[in-house]
Amino acid sequence: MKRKATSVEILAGKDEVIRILEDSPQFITNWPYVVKVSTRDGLVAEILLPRFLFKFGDTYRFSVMKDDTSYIYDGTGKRSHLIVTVTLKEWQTHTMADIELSYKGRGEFLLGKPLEVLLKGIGNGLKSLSEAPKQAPVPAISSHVADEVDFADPMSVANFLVKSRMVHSGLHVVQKGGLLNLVLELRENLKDDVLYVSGITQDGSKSFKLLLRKSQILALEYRSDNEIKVVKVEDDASARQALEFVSRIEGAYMVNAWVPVGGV
Amino acid sequence: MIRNMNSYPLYDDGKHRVYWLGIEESEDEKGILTNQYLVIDGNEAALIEPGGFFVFSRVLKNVSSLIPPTQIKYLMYSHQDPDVVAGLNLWFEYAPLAEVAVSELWVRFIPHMAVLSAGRIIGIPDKGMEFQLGSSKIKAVPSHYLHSPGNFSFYDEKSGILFSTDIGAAAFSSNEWYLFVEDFEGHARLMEAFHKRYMSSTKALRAWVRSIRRLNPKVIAPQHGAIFRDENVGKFLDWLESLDVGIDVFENEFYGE
Ligand SMILES: [Fe+2]
Ligand SMILES: [Fe+2]
Repeated sequence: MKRKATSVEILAGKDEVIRILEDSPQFITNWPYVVKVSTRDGLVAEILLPRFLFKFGDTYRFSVMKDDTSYIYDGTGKRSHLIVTVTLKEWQTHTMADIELSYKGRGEFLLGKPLEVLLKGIGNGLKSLSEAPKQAPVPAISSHVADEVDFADPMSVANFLVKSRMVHSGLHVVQKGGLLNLVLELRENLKDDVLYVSGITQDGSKSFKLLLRKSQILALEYRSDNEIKVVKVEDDASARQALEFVSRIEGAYMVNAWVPVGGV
Repeated sequence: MIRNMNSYPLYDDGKHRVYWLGIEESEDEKGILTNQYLVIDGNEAALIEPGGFFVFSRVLKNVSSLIPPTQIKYLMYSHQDPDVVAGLNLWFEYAPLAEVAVSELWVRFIPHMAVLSAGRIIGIPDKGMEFQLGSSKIKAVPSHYLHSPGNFSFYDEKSGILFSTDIGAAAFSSNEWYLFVEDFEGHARLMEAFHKRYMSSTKALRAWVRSIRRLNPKVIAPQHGAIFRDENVGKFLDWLESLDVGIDVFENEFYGE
């Protein structure tokens, strides 16, 4: 019998984590190396390591047990026996999950590393499922899409882009402190208040993303060789900070400009 | 609802790597799930069938955990269907140095995706072409009329994996999902209706099978459904060869005697 244990901190309430643990087929689908899940005749899942890693796989029939604080997924395979126990502790705004994995059977003494990956992946899967939105996102049609853009959250950017069209694309040499002049130039032929401008150097080492309403910066991502800065403008201080990074942008960039369609 | 946020490595020799990038079902397309794939060679990557808005956040997250998206050299689109190209403007921004590869038939439609191509579009000629990725090659293999009139499969020579666009698509039932085909006969039942109606011509299909047999891929990975490997590659090609599809099946039904 091989036993391994880990803990993950989940930025979600216990109820949310329980919702994920209750849907055992969905939860097990998100374990690493799971290549098959069926509920046709009980809950059956196949775990198969990538061949180049280690030739190993087994198909487990799971029974799920629970008490007040833990869930136990007990899998009986053809050549091995796998038990995953998840114990939850709730804190004020987050949940700690202690996860224990025990394995008995074929390859027991060779599978140290893969079992660790499996355990870690179960923890990460539980974390990302619990923290993810309940359903696939729906593109927002709200008039605030531009205001909600935060470059730390790619989906907020996707929400904006999916309702935008590119109005300019070209190579520009930006003088230090001159990015806003380029923005003015781009604006000359545009009626739109909201403008998204992004740029990247041809070697990919530096880039920026900038969202503006009229002359006001709403959000910024600034990337140079050694740093990434994301600013969501919410007050004077963050506005100053965004301007500070904008003034640092310098060099030859491939620049794309986008405007919202349909009145964002 | 099937949702797998993980990627799964299909090939890794240390320098050349191929990944399947996870899967999720949206409310509107029950059963028909889209597969996205990533090929990495050294510090260059190709994203195959990047997919639409609904899968963007997962695909971006999985790609980013494997390679910075600025190192994506190609966004490869087998054809012009929305389930393939709908996220084009997102990927245009998030893979800002990538070129978009698609049949030259669809190049003039790209502006309808709200992007200015600005020299970033590679129109693949009807006979196909090769793409250099790091020290490896990806071949665009003609797959026209299967089902789109301008359609390509993509063959990664180093791993022997053929990305077969909609050819091999399967619709899962709600109580089962699997990444690799094990029971071919059972799986064929999930593929048949789709191929009969969506694929245009039996002649086109048989020509494709002939050209794929010459390539001799180790693995066939479609845009929907499950992946074929080992003896199932041969079984799948045999099955396709014996299938009548498209206008050859439906001429009478649609147009009368
Ligand atoms: Fe299609
Ligand atoms: Fe498709």
